[in-house]
Amino acid sequence: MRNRARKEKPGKDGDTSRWKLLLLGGGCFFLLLLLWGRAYQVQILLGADLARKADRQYWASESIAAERGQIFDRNGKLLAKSIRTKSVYVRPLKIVNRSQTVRKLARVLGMSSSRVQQLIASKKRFVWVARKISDKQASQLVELGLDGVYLKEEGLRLYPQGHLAGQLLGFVGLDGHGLEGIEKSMDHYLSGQAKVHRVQKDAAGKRFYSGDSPGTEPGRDLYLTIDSRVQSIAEEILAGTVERYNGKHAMCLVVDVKQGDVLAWAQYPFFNPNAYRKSSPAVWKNRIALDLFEPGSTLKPILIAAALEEGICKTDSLYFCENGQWEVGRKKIRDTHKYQWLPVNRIVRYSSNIGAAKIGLELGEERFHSYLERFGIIHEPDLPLPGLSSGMVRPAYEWTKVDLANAAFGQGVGVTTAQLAQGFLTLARTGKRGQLRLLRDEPEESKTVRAVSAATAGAVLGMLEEVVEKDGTGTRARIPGIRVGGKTGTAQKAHQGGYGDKYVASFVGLLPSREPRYLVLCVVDEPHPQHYGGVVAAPAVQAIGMSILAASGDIPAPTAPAGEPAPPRVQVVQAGGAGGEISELPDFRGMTVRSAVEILVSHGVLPELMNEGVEVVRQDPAPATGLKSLEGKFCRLWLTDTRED
Amino acid sequence: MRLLSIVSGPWFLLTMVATTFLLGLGLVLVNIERVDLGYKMKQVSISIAKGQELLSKLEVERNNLVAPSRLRRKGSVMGLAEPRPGQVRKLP
Repeated sequence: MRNRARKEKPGKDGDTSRWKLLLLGGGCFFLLLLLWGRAYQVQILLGADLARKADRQYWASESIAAERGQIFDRNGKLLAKSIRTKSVYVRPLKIVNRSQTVRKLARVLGMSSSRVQQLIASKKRFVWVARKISDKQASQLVELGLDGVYLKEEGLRLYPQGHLAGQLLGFVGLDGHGLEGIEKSMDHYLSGQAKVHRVQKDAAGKRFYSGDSPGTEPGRDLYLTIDSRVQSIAEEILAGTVERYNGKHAMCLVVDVKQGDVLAWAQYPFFNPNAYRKSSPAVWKNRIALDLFEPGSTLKPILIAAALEEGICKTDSLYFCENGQWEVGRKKIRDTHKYQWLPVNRIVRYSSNIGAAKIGLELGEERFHSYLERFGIIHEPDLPLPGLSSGMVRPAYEWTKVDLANAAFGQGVGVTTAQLAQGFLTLARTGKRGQLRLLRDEPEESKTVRAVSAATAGAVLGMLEEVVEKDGTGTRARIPGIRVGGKTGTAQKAHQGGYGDKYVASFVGLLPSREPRYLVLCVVDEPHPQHYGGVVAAPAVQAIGMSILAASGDIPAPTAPAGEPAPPRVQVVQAGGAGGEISELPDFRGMTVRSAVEILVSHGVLPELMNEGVEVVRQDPAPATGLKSLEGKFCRLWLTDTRED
Repeated sequence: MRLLSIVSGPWFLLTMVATTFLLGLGLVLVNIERVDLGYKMKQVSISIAKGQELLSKLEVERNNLVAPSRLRRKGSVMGLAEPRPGQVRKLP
């Protein structure tokens, strides 16, 4: 009993199980407490910091560059486009085999080994080796898999038509922003909005799509008023003119008179924006918008328009031209020929400086200055280009009598080619103020501002026609079959406070002369030995005009001089090669489509071409059908393409 | 009371544990699938971008080949020239 009692009594006699249980329970509780404590520390105290670290480990920010807008001409031909290309950089500290890396890099990139050696010998962590390499070079480098050599994707702006309108387009820097020309002035429009988004990455740092990829805002496409064909023609002819007359540089503008659209903005020497680093600022300078020159006689039509409008003179008012030499103050004004009495139209036709000076002095400085302003000669034109120049025309109150006489024939005032074109555009639009336009989708000016009346503008246009079509100074701008108007300009260049022996030759042509459709302005700087606008610039304008008309299919047939019979409208080519009249429909089979069409058209029969090709294989009506019965009707021709592939 | 007895019963607890386990497993599987899909989509988007890039380069190349100045040069080599006055006839 005593023993049982002893067994049943816990505690004092060594039964520790209860204590053990308590201890175990307490230990568990303590461990649980520790766990909770740690959980509290991790979740609450360190939670935000750890979440940030995890975020960095699993997520990365990726910047998606927005594509820069493309530039097109008025017909949708591509002028500028951005593509992605690769650039090579090295991390010198990670290069394993230096000599091999140098050798292979130099071979693939076409660089000298010493240059590559110099680059990778750098202590920097990151060194560019070559920017914007070709796809072929990039794939070769990927195949080589050189340690420490990496490729990075970058944007590259390409101009597929090379130097075409190079100075107008400008170029884009390495950062993808425009540095010159339209690329600079329209950078806000062409640049897109880059977007940064989060991408998930795995333990190896490899990124994968995680659904969070907002689209970027690409730049907007820009359509210019330039016509690539016209631009190309103007550039080609301009280059030929400069080389022929040993000019320093030349500029040409072709403008569609109706809307003021600039069809060609050409300069020579050419500038290729694809390789702008190889050119100097003097070459990529947009001289048409920036360079001021003394316009010389090309300013006279504006003076005459102002004088006619103000009633100072009439078309037939006579002025004595002082036999070729006249003194105003201490300034001698000379004409190229000794003229005596000339009416106003002949002052323009023969480009008399003395006659113009006399009209200018009668008009007065205030009025002449205000007309220069009305014709857009003084202020910079409203064009989307960087750093446009305004004209160099002093305020009227500063003009002396000599200044006014000089300004009347275009000396002592400075204008840009764009301003001069704008002045003539106003004349060509029968006196309505014309604005040059470079952006195709830009809305036209709604309000019409008149510089001079339509009658005045018409009278001046008539005088400009005489310059070319009669015995004026611009006869070399004649185009057979169309009446051309224009004005020559031969201005001495200012040199060391006076005038030297260098000239600026210019010619402004209007095609056709009475209701002009095209305005062509050509300026050649320092041509020699010939320096007259009528000799140097007028033929260039004629060639450009003819090419434009040919390209648009509007080149006219030459008109016969008065008194002579008109040439046959078409040359009839007989089947079999014999010429002469025919009364029956020939057998066209085997003939070229051109010959067949000429025969049909010349006899008033309308050809209908049933398919494409160059040789006639079938015809309807059949051969020997009377031609008279077919007059005004159709003759169907089936063709076959026999051209060689 | 009956509901309380079910909820507090061992089977219910077991079912809940099993469901939690299965849901957890499902979550892991879905996550694996999501990552796999992410890799595939990344590959597809890279290949689309490469295709678009190639298209852009080809477009530039085509425009270079049909540039008016190049065509004029080629034409003159092949004996073509622009028409002179009297050589263009418009058909009705």
